[in-house]
Amino acid sequence: MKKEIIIIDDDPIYSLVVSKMIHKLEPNTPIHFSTNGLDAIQKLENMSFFRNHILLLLDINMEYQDGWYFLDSMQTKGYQLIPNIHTFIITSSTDTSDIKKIEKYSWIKKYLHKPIYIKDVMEFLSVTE
Amino acid sequence: MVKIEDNLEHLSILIIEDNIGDFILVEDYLLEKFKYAHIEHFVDFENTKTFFENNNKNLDLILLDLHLPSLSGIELVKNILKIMGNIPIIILTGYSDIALAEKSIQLGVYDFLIKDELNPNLLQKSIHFALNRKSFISQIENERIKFENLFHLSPQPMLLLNYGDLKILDANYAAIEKYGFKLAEFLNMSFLDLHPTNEETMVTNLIFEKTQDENSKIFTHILKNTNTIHVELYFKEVAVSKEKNNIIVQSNDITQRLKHLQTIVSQNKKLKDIAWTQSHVVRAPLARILGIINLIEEEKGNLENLLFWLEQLKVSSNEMDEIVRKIIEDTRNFDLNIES
Repeated sequence: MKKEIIIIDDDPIYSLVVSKMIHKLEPNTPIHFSTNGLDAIQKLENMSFFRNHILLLLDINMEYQDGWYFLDSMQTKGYQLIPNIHTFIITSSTDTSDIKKIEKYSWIKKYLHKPIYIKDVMEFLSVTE
Repeated sequence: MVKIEDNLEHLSILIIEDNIGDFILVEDYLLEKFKYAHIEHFVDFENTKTFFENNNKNLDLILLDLHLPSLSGIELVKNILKIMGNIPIIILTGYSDIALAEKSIQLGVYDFLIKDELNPNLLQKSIHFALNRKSFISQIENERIKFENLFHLSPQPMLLLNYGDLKILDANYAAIEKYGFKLAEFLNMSFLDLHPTNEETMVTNLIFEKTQDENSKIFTHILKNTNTIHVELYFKEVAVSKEKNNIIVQSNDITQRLKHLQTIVSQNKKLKDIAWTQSHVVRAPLARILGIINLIEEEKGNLENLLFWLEQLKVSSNEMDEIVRKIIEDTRNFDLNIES
């Protein structure tokens, strides 16, 4: 089964850093970029998540339609139930209220604080194995 | 309590009697029972009055004949009571004047003695009773003054209200100073006049239904200069007589306290904002810098566009510098706010 990745983050440099790390490990895995939750959910709708694994690397704090918006949209559409969609949170926030809120979305695979390391990227990528 | 027995022998007694025979008789009886008594004697009202106006001498008792040359009867009694203040008065009278004597008792005279029945023992007994009663009365009066002072000299503004219509019956010095109304102005007001209209129902409920809710004790009061203060009110019902109750209100100005509380609340919010900024804004460029450094390390010098990444490091570092400066500025404003 093929895998595809969406990096959802309004910080283009950080997205670029993460994508470089991913391509270092898996040069042929397609990566899509979104800078807000609405764009990301639209991208996701158009992807064939029944045939491919979709890995979502989601930032929480974005200027427009932030991570919470995206997570809630996923739940309205029932996407959280699809086993091929794997959601990871990567956020710079260490705020405890954010962490508590993240824990309410029990279907999230993992959450990490920025910066992430190559070993974290390895862990994401191995979720499909 | 003063033990009157201790002073009895040195009593100072004024006899107002125009009949010299009667005077000598009474004086004899007095000296028989009170050996060292000091006795003053006047034969008319005018001299008695002059004596009192020029002399503050302490008198223990007055024996008064009801018929003096220029003034007699009830008029005499009234005038004597006026100048004597609270010195006990015993009336000396004849059988024909018993009705008059009884009326004098109602006016505040302590006792009356019928001249024809007078003897040393009776006189002594009447004087003892009168002095005892005087002593009790002044004791009660002192207690009353003490309680009144508790009200009037209390550092907390206090008002006395009529139970039914909440008319203000009295205000202490602290209230007069706090609210700026003169006592006479207070006495023309209802307690509700101190409140804005929208609080009137609330305050009446609190007084008459005795609501226990702590929060409902805070009200707005309008001062004479139309400024408003926030007050905490305490009510206490006091029985004046069997049928009549008054209410004592103590009003505690908490305007300053609330202001301080508000400052603390707004400062806490700022602190929270700063913590939020630390978590969300400061960490963003920092995480980016660390991410770029990770990437450079991973590539071990083989990274294409190294110059691009170095430029990105510089941009992120400047961004972070900007944010830190802003936080420092916010914190400085914070200090200023605390001082003001």
